[in-house]
Amino acid sequence: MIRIEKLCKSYDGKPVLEGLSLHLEEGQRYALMGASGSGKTTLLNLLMALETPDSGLIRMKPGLRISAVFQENRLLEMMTAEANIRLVAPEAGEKARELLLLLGIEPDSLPQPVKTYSGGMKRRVAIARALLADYDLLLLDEPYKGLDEDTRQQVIDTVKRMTEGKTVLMVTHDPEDTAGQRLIELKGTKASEPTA
Amino acid sequence: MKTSTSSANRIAPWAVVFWLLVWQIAAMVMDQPLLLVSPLDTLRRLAALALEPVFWRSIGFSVGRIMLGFGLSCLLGISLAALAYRFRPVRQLLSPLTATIKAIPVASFVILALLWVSSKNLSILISVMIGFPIIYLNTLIGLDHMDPKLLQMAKVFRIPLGKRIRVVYFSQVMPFLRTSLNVAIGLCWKSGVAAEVIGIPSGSVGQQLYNAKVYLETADLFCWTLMIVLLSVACEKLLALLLSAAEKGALK
Repeated sequence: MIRIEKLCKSYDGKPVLEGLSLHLEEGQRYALMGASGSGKTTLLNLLMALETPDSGLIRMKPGLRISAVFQENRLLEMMTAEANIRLVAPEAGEKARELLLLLGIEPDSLPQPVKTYSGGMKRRVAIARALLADYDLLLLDEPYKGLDEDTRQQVIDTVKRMTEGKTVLMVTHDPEDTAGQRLIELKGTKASEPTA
Repeated sequence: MKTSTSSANRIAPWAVVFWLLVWQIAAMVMDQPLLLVSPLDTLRRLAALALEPVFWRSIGFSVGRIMLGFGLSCLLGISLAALAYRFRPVRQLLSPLTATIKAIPVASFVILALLWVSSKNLSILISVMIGFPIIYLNTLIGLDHMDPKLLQMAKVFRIPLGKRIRVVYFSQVMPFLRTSLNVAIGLCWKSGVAAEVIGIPSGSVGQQLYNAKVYLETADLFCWTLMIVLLSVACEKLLALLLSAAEKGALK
């Protein structure tokens, strides 16, 4: 589905990725791990075409649709959670409301603009938006960061259930989040082969 | 106790009554209606003027032209700001023009404009000259301040361009646009009427003000000034309602 070949990216002459090659297969879930500054977010940005590589290639299926949970929530704060979801998933309809409730957003909070939400609530809205958008590849950049312990497991279970059989690449620091996923480690500007 | 800025700046009715009383007492003490007309006499004269068809015709003449000028300022200011945001040469080209327009005094504009257009349409041109740079510059600042991360989000999720402009761009530019439109509409009124007083187009509010001055009709001068203030405030309120409705519609 995605083939990355000899990808290089540096900032101010400092290499972040150097000759990174990777093959992501369709329908597989991958966990991308690595120390801070190892280029995890850079790799996601390159896949989303938000940045251009210095050299190397990213081959993708033509017309591949991407959905994402960014490192920051990137929500339109003056809009409601449902409106934020409808913006990227106009067909979501009642599913948006159902998923938000499932992720622990209180019904009373739904008519309120997102700017009134706590950090954890905003994160859950960002996750719901990514899950309901049409996509072939889902990129998750530390999606569970900032979630309260009470709702964290519910969110993890929902993401797992809703991404069954989909291609997912998730950046995480927490080994507990990697269960059931093929592990890729970024080490010293290069990536390990995904575990089986 | 802390109060919000908007509620702290709201005009309290008691303060209005206080200043009206000061005005009334000052007029009574001076007792020279030629120099200072009392608020009661102003209201009496206004009631009499309101019965004359020319009063409403003059208001219609000026409101129509000044608001047309304001509308054109919005159209020009917003569309050129969008082009300047997208294309750097447009920004560079317009930069000296807007700086010059901002620096030129209204009176110079009016006298110059009288050479180009008939006095009848003078207030339209002056409203555009005054409103356009304010709206253009503030819209451009708003566009420049948009969060690039939200624009990236819109790109990744393939939000169609129309929706992207309506929701993602509009919601971020709106605070800047709202402020600039509020300032511009008030200035369009001030400069538009000033242009009419200098150009004296027949049947305008400006002409009525001019006549009041020439014939030393101080009560009329106060009446027309009061009407201009009321019309300007009414236009500002209407604009605020329209902007809120537009914002609600866009973010629904």
